[in-house]
Amino acid sequence: MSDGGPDRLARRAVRPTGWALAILAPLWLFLVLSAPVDSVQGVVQKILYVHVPCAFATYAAFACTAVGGALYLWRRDEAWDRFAASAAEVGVLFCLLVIATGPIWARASWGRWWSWDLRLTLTLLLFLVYLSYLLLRSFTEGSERTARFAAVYGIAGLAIVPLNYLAIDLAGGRSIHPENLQRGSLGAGMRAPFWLGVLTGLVAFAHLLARRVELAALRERAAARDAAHGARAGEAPWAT
Amino acid sequence: MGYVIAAYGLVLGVLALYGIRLAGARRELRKSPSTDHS
Repeated sequence: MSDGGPDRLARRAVRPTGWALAILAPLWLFLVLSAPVDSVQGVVQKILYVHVPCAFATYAAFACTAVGGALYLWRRDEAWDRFAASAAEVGVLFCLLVIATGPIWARASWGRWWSWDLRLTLTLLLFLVYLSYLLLRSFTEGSERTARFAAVYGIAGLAIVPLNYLAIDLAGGRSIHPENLQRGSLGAGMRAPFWLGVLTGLVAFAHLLARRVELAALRERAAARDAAHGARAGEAPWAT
Repeated sequence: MGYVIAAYGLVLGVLALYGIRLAGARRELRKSPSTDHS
């Protein structure tokens, strides 16, 4: 079994990202609590500080899945395949949180849980594409062919990310979803909790990804040792 | 306010549970005799 770059990197990243998260998360929550209440939407606008960071973490995760897949196709190192699959799992979790927190905010501000708006529909599609990636891998586990197909699928799925980000512009004014933030569109006192939230979300993603990659490497190592042990135990007694 | 608490509770709760699940699985594998610690 290869103990390639991403495995080593993940092992080294678990502690620093964990410490960074332990410092950033309480600071971010404090800034969210002390941020001014929006004059139009009221307190529900504070869902922005958790909804958007989850969306950024989702984009980062699926970008990692595509990069891991591309590096697997290039180097044929299974460590990159494990990295891609781990990033997809963490990304699906963050995407699920985007899909869950969005309707909570929508119910409070639009009066309904869901709208078949382009941004919302593309987010649901993004979730289903990468959920299918995970299902595909779980049904056809372990073969090199699966890893190759998953790598191509993970790279192709990334095309939805820029579409999702630009969905509001593409909808040409027909979108019910708020526009992407522009310079100066956040009120006074809202920029710090927003950007610290984005940073905290990305660090949380990095920490969970490092833990997931480390776990996948440990499982692979245990399976390889079990297989070697099984092969030795199966040898004819007179062969020794 | 209930909507805000629900959104934050959901995100923090789900991420914490996932982190705990990963840490638990890692601990189990580390304890397993087939895992090389070196």
